[in-house]
Amino acid sequence: MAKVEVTKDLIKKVAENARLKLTEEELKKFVPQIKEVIVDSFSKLDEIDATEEPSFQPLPLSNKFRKDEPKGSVSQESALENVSPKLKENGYIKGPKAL
Amino acid sequence: MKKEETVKFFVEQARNNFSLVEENLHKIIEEVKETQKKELNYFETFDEEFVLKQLEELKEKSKSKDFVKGKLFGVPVSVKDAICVKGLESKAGSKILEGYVPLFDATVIESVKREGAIILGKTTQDEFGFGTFSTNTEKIPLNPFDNSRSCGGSSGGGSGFAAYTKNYHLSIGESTGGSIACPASFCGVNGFTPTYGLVSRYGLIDYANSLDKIGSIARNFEDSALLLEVISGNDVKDSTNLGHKFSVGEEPMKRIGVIKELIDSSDPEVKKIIQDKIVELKKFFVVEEVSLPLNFKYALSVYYIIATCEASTNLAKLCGLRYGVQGSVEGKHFDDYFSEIRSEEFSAESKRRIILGTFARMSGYRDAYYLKAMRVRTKLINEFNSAFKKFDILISPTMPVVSPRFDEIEKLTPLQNYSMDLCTIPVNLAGLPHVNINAGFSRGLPVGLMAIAPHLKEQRLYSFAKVVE
Amino acid sequence: MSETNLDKVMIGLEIHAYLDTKSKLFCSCSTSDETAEPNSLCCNICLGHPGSKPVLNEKAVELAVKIGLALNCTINKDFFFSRKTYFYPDMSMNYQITQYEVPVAEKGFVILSSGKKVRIKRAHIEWDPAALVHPNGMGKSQYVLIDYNRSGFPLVEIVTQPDLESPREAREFLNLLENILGYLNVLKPNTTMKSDCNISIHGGNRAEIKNVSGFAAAEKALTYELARQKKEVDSGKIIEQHTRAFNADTGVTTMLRKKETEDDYGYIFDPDLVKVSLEEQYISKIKKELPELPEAKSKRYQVEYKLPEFDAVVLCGNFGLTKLFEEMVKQSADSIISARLLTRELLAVLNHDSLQLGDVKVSAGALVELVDLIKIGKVSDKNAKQSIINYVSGDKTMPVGYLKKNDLLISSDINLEEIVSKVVAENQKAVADYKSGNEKSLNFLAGLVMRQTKGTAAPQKVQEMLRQKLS
Repeated sequence: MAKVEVTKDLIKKVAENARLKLTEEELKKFVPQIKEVIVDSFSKLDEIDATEEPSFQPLPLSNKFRKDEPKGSVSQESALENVSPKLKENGYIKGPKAL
Repeated sequence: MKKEETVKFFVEQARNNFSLVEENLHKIIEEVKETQKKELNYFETFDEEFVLKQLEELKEKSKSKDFVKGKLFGVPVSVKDAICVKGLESKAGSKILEGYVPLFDATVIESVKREGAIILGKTTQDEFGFGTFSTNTEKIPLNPFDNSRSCGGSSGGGSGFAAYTKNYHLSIGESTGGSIACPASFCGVNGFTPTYGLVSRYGLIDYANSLDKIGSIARNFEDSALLLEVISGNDVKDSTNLGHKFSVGEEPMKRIGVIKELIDSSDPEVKKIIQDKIVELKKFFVVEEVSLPLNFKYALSVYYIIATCEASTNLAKLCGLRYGVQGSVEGKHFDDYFSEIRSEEFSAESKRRIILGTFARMSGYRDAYYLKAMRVRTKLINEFNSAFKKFDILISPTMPVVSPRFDEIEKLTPLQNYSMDLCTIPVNLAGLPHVNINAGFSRGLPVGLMAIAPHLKEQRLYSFAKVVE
Repeated sequence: MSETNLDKVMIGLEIHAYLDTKSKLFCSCSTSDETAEPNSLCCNICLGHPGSKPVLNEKAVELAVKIGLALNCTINKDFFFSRKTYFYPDMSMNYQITQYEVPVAEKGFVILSSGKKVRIKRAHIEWDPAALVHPNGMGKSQYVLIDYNRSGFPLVEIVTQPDLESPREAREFLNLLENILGYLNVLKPNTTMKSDCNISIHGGNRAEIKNVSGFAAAEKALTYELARQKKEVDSGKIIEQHTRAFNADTGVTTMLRKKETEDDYGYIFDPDLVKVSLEEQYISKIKKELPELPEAKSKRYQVEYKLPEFDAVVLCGNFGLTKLFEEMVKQSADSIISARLLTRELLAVLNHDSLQLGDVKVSAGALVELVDLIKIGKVSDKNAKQSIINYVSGDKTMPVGYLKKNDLLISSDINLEEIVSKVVAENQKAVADYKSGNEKSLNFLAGLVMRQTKGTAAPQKVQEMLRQKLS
């Protein structure tokens, strides 16, 4: 695995992907901090081979199911309880547009 | 520790004398207010009316002959902010979730309520659990031993108050990389982190789903074991729940392994206290050194890759819709709306972790980081399992230092911050049960000893603590 | 580039369909399609409330395995769920729970009636986002209205390899897929399948036309896009990999976004969910209980009901027709006549008027009545056909009613048996000619019978009766 180049542009791109708009000041502060973590810590894994099966949880877990029985929906009022009054309209939740 | 100091004793008395419940609760309410006045910041949310209402309800219920007075009858329980309590604001120490009032109780809350507990309030923590010192939040809890020092994190508020209070009390905490053991260590209290999956995570606002564990914080091990007994058990609402229950009880154990690398990495003052303790332990147990080189070298990297990857997806839902901080959507494209709110409300540490986690799972990088970390994790768990073939439990210092001052903490880079967790991260990554027991004091500050058992062997820790505490 | 490469059209489809479960994929909210108030069939899980946790619906797994088996896939005994993270206003968590590395089923195939094999890359389970309403129409809205009732619905996604070579073939594949899934009874009734259609030409980059609803639309979209790409390439341009939208009203595809500006999905295995490990017995049981699929059914019909191959294949190629056929046979209608009526008359009318069976109201009982009359020779094929046309596209009167009203039934006064006997008795020379091998004589006799019945008798029936009489 090639060594990763942690540049300001890479961090900006990653931040955008995560819907974070970083200010110039933030970028200035974050770039060396994030670089340090990636280069000095994350990249340590480059030194070691690992052919083991991945552990997505620390113990082997499998087969947790639920019966196909409808129940447990909350009322519209409850569903909207945490929605700010400005963002409620006729039982719908107002959201930002896509186009 | 005397029998009369335990919650179990209190409950036995209280069942026959409700005035004891009232007395204890009123005294603790005064204490909470005291801590608020002194700005010790142990509580994020404390609503006296909410508490007194529960008292009244409990009193009414107790009048009925058929009412079974549970294991936590009348006991005030403080709850880490990330654990949802119906009707109380639950922000996980963040700004972006301001105003979020869950529609449901976490399963652990249902469990303690069922046993007659009274929910005292929500305790302060690092935002979403991101931190070792509970400094990554607006209300920073102050160490009761020295207010210029940290309570540890991220369950700082709960540990701080558990140390502060002179009354009967339990605290529900949560650990991802050591967030129960660390603050317990800095505050000189008992912190019990169970096996991953023993306690339901339903209702816990996620930091990292394969690492998060709800556990107990209390003055002594009897108390935290009792709380763990109540909150552990089967829950169909959590897919990663093991379906096991912890019952307070002993399992004889003899052989203790001292993790060499962790003792060697600790400050001399910590090392000394731990080594003195080991001398005492040798009277009762066989104590030998054990080396965990892979964990020492790689656990931190593996942990932070996995934790940030998972966290960055968990935090994606926080975008100003449905709950929490919301803005005005008219005329805005969703990219702008989401970015504005997220950029405004997330702390610097949250942003850093989101970026790190998003990076480590991005195409082109996810094989080398995310997937590799998952494989190395298996290697590290195997290293522990090998050690447990020879030893019944393992021990180490809980933290390499005593509680640092806030001005010292400010000087640390994020990576230096992360490296402080070097003792607690390996066991948390492996989902192993571990307990912090106070081992002594240095310069008046608590030093914690951590004992670790294999998966689902919490009773060994109980046996150990019984001897040591 | 070789000549074949230049002409090569490659089409691959990703089809999404709703699974027929009573509750959602990862929570117990009802999936009932009764019109409900917005945001009234939700819970903290499908609303994406912090603290909530998903739990997998066992029925969805069963249905997905069924689908995988019917598409000749390998079922992965161990499979996982993944988080596909991207931001959109209809997402409850800004990640979709889906399957990435290890889906339920993969490496299958179906065979079109032309004999062409279309490979199925994979079939997996995922959940649906919320529904968006644009208050003033898509272009003009200043905001969207979100309804989470649909959030969390279980979907199956079926992905083909790019083996399809024309828009027509793609449509054929979709019809076949719908037929198979109809047989399995695994899809939510009253829902449409949506396809993402990928097409490339001359070995170049592909365009993905997203979210096309229905099969006619898929064919139209691909036809337009194929022509568009050909034009671009002819004028020297290179097609970049990108995403397009299809407008069903104008029949035009338009560019949505380029590949570079797409979100990186950053897949991780969902840490809130655990591995699904299926036992061999579980899979075999489902395999055994699979309903008879079109190919097998067609073969059986040919043996059991003695249907001609063509009728059997066409019949089984349409799940709705098969259902009608089986219902008619249950009501003791003659199977051969029923099959012929359905595949030739009914299907012809539907195709002529570009209708689907689901668009019209056809009752098995009404058709059975007609078949019974045909069987005893009371109605000619021509008139039977007319009655069907009227039933489907005319004034919709039931066939027998129509025939009676228009006096198209052979009069009940007429005893066909008697007439046949009489004609045979009165034309012994023709009988003798026929018996010594002259087929034409039979036609002569049949003609006489027809005249006696004023043309209302069914010619085939008459022939049959004569042959019987003279054997």
